[in-house]
Amino acid sequence: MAAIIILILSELRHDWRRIGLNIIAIATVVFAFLLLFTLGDTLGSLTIGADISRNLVVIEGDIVDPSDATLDKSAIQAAEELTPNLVSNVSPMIYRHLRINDKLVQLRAAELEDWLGIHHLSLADGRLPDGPGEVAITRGAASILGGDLDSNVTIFGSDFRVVGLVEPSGTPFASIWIDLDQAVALYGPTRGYQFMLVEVAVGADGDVVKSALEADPRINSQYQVFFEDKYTRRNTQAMKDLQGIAQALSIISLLAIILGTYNATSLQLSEKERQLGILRAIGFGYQTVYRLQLVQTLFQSLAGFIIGLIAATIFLVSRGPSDQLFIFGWPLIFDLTLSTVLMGLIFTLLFAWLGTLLATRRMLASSPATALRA
Amino acid sequence: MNSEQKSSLLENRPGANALVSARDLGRTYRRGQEEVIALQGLTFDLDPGSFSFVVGPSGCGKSTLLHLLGGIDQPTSGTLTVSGVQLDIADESSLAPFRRDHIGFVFQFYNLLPALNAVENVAMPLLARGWGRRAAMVRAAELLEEVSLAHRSQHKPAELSGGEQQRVAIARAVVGEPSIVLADEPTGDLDTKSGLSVMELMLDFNRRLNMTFLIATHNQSLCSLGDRLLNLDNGRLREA
Repeated sequence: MAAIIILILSELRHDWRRIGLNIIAIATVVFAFLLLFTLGDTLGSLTIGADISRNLVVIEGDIVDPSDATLDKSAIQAAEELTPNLVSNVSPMIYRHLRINDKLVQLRAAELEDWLGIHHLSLADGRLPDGPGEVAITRGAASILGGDLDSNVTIFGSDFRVVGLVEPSGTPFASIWIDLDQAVALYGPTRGYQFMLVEVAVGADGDVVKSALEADPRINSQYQVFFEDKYTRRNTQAMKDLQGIAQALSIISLLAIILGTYNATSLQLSEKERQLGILRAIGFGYQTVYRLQLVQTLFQSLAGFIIGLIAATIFLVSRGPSDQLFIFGWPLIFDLTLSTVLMGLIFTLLFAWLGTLLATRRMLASSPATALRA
Repeated sequence: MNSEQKSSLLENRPGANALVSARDLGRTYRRGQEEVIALQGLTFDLDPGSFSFVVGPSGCGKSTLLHLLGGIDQPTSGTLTVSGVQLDIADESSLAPFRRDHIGFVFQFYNLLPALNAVENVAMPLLARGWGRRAAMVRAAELLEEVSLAHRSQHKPAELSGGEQQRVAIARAVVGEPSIVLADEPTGDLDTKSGLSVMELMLDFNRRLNMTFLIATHNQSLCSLGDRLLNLDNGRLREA
């Protein structure tokens, strides 16, 4: 033990440049892992379209952006004629894009009584609007607007007060929710509604309702009918791609920390092959040489991890509001979670240990005479 | 046959009292498809307390022989016993304690640990044997005094001359009072004066402490200092 302590302290003093570089190499890998994994984790946490297959969406065919669609009253009437046996509710919607603080925000207008039902909104804070000049917003919109309850938002030249914070059940777009009548008053009758949600009645078969709607000439001439979840997924392909990227990022970051730590350890041991040969020649056994290397590499890996963690934390904390990333108007919040940090620590130490074990074994498999020739 | 009779037979067999006993010793290497014979059919004994030389041209197998005797390499044929340990059948787990307890090495290029100062380098074999730090350092400092380097004890190898480094290496080799000190071209990297000084130092340890030395050299002029000469040529022994 005395020999190990003397060797470790002496090498720290003597070889501080090389050890420092090794620590920086590990810190860089840890920094990359923590940021990539956090990015992957954040992207992966975005949910895509909840399963609301009891709702049908009726929208103009071949429309790329739903805000460009228009919905004729005859189509709404066709759906309403299926109540109550096949359809329990029909909710026409006004859908617009707004640019607020240079960020894209959706405006969704529907009958107030449909918000919690057919639209599956839940109230997170405040209350639902109950009068003119009041709106509710999602958390993403609150981040873009820079305020939530009791803040004001200007829509189409008119000021509205935010009275409620709502959470959508599907893809978490940044949205402002407004009562349908207020939206009609705001935008005028020219463009009308964009699409409608049709709630399938309890006990009715969704496919039967869909077929019935598609068979109606007031719908099949101009509109297409989708199950809501499928429609949402179709419109959020980019989100799916991002999730794929997120998974790839997570795997890459894991590989980075595994290979980075392993390589740093192995390389260091290869450079020290001759020294280890000398130690063996003067009588140190496998266990002592292995323990010596293990303590050194674990110390360096731990130091590298702490530096990488500090650097990643500073990087994330120092990002100002202008650096915030938005996807579909939804702000990405990068939180370095405890589980990510622990995973990084475990991988760093595990693969430093594995690198030491394998490199030491490989080295000790050859004779000390071979090591002395290195 | 009782154990006393068995012991008596062992004592009377050839080389039974020898410190080193090699019989038909060989070492071959594989270099790609080619088999290289480094040593072949070496049979010899070395007595305890002897001061012997292995001579021969470069590449004749001197270093390989010393590596085999020191347990840092293993023979591919024949038998080899050093200080009662049969090295040709020993595995690494028994070779490490063998090296620790019985062998002192002196290399041509010193092979001191660069991160340690002179006294720490000398103390290493004692620490390998489980000595406490303080006791090992005290004994190492005494050895450095014996090789006239007490004033350089805190210097690292890079701060010492070649002759000084080799004297530190000799102190490290003898500090644990090994059964045999194996010196591989110990003067090969030194000027004549430093080389002679190093040789005298080893002779001094041999005479004062009756410590066994086997020195590999290609310098035939040094051989008159020894009691025994093993002449290697192309991996074979031609005893002089």
